[in-house]
Amino acid sequence: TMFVNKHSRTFIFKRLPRNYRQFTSSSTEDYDLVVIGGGSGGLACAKAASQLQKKVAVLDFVTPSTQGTTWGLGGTCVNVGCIPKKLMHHASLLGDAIRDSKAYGWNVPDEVQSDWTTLSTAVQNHVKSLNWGHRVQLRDKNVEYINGLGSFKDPHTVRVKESNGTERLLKTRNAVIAVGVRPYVPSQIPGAVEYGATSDDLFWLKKTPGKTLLIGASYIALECGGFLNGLGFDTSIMVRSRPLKQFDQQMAELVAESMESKGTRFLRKCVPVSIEKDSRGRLVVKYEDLTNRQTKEEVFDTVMFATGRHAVTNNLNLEALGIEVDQTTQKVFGGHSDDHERTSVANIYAIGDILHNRPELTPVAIKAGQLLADRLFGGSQVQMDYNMIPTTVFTPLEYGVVGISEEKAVSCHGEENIEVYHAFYTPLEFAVPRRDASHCYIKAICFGDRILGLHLIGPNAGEVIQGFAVALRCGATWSGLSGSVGIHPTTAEEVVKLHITKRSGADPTVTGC
Amino acid sequence: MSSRYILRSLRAFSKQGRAHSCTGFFHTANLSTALLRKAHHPHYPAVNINYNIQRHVATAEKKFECFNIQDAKDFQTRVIESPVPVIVDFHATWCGPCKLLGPRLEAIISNKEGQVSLAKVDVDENVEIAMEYLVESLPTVIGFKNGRKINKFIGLQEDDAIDSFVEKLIH
Repeated sequence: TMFVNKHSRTFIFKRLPRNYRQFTSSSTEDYDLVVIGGGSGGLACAKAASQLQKKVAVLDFVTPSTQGTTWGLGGTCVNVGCIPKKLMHHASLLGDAIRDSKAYGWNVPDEVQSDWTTLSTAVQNHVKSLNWGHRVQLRDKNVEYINGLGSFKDPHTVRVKESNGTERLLKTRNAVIAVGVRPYVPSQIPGAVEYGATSDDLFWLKKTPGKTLLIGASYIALECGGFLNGLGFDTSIMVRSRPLKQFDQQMAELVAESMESKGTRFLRKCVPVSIEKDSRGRLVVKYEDLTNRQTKEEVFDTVMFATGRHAVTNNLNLEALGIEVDQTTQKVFGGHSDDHERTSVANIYAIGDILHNRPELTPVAIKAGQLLADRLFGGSQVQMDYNMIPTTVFTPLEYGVVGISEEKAVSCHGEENIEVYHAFYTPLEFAVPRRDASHCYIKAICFGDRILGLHLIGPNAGEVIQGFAVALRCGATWSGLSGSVGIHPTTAEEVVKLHITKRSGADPTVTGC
Repeated sequence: MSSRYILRSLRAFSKQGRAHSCTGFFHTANLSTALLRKAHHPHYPAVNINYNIQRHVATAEKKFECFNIQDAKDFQTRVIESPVPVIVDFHATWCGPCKLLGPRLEAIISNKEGQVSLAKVDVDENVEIAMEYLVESLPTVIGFKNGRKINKFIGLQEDDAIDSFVEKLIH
């Protein structure tokens, strides 16, 4: 009789051609790391751990959206977030560019139309190529990929249920929860779940969105509303209180005003009451105006909810393991034993959007995942630095920011100790076609020579703020910034040319060279 | 027409494939199916349709076998165990250059009088096969003979390069 033990199994295993090995791992072999969630954070962590010669598996599964949309490997950013959003944002800006080009001497027709099918197909094709790219990368980095829903059996065992029904148990030394968050649709509003789309669906819509209502005032609502308006769709945004509540309020108002000036309709201080479908298949939305308590009604082709994103952790079996989650958001608490990402269970970590009270941004998840892998397997002690994380709201006129808001600075240090340098500027390219530049604005919030926050609204704000964010991380001071020489002519140089303070009351409009 | 030819045509008709499943048998009923497929194809130049009608009405003989791989078992039987060399075109619906390469491959292989077959593998439908053969960029075209990988090229190529690739596989 042939006696097969773990040694002879390895003997046979190692004689298989290398490319077969990945598909014959037995479920009793120990993993060093199992990552639940194949998004920005999960993939980065898995790949970094594998580079350190560890045995890693990543689980990814997309539960279909309320409207049945689903997608491939890569997480929110690749499929229903940053990537399709930026491409559509750019598509809408190209419309502006075509219109501006007339003033620059180009022979273009008076009216140009965008074709939703061409755009969405091109965007979806790119997303699918990224799904494929991630599959190839995982193979190249020797990370096992399982398309299945993961849950915890115990702190060292992850149960994965694959789409074909098979169940596997993965024994692992460590686990990372990187499942991200999904759009929240208020189910108490009749018709919301049935007829309401979300950002999960918008980029995969087969039919053209048509006249669209976005409910919500987050950056998701404004970014999507912004590009839909730019592509020529009749766009309305229903805001319960104020736009961009999490951001500096002066900047948020300027962003909203810039969108209104481009034709986006804001229904301020309104809340949806119900959504019904009419005989022609269009959506009838009843909503209440909170200022006068009047109920109004309007018909739309598409209604998209952008009313927050929430964690879907109920199927992970966290409670049984004692992994603490926030009661309101259901997000996982990190910060145990002085490790920002460690949960209340010693060998289980959380990164990315699922981690409580941290910025929901791809680069944050990626960096946190990489640093975690280094700590787990590379002997590093370096923790993720969640301070001074730059970000950009990709509304048609972009808003880039690094650091804190003016409100936060004032509440932390007192108004008398804060100096705000600001300027309204006009990008050179706006001058010829006489584009409205009244919302292009910069402010630097300083506490002595320390820069607490830098805020900029203007074209390509994302590109502009990136370099300044690095400078601030390296300790750039106000005197260093204002002593720097600008590049001319750019909008970025206006940052180093700031000199008028809010306190002085002087007109902050930049005039001429 | 031989009975084997008729049997193969019937099998081609009853196959559960995707809309763009291709058959190299240009006898009249298949011709209209082929025309319908090509007419909807965004990258397929109209001039090729006429060219194919003239060619195949004139000669009306078997040109080449061309099929979509359904799964790993299909790949094993029709590529690894194939008596003739098989050119495998790894492609995807989202890949632009693939849509240009496909018709070029078909046109060139159709000239080889059945000495080589063409297998199409959609990498999204057959991820494991693509992973096994280390496919990264698309399109990737691999020549198989007697169950072994002989040669490979990546990306859209000119007709000359494709032709010499095919010739190298056959001989």
